[in-house]
Amino acid sequence: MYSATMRNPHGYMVIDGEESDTITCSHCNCIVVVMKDKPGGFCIKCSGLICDSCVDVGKCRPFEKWLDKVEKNLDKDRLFDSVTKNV
Amino acid sequence: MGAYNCDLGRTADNTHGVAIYQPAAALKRVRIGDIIFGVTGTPADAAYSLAAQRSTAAPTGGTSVTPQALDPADLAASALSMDGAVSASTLTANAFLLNIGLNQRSTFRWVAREGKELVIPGTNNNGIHLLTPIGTALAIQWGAHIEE
Repeated sequence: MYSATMRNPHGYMVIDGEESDTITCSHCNCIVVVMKDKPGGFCIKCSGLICDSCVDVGKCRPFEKWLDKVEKNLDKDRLFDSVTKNV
Repeated sequence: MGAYNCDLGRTADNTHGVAIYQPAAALKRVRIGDIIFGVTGTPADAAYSLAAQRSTAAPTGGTSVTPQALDPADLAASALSMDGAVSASTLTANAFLLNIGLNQRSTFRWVAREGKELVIPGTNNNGIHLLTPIGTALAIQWGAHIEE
């Protein structure tokens, strides 16, 4: 996993001119600094690199699905508004 | 997709941060792909922390800053940003997208590859707040590039 991350990092972080590769968690969208002894995790279901917290969760919860769900709830609110407020 | 710069800052006060957020009627997703951060006050050789945290309500108490289009031909950004926002009451618990300890004398920059940005859902008032929850209160400057 580590070598795959190194070949294809999701971004980089620079602190005082020193550069480190980062990954963006495929489940929660957080930024993780890639370290040799702490490479993060890999979800075999969605083939995404994930953070330690999402490894602990043990379920595949792709970030895109979360976005769709959050935005779908908005659509429900809009529908509700259109019914109750006659928009 | 247009690209915009948010030039944000905060005076010496740890209860305030900066925020990039959706308007009351969100139109589209907003992607933050570049964050640069540094102290503009008088930094000591001491630690402080930098955090990015999700929120579901619009920030208050600060000054609105209009994101500037990098290409002047682009339309105005639909996303909003705020300097010196009071964020605490609107933050989503544990929804940290970045949480890192730094020396006050360090300049920090994070750049995402295309498609790996921090994403704000296209939901009314949702946003991401940039904060320094731990450390001495210092004047701070943030720059963030967003796409939408």
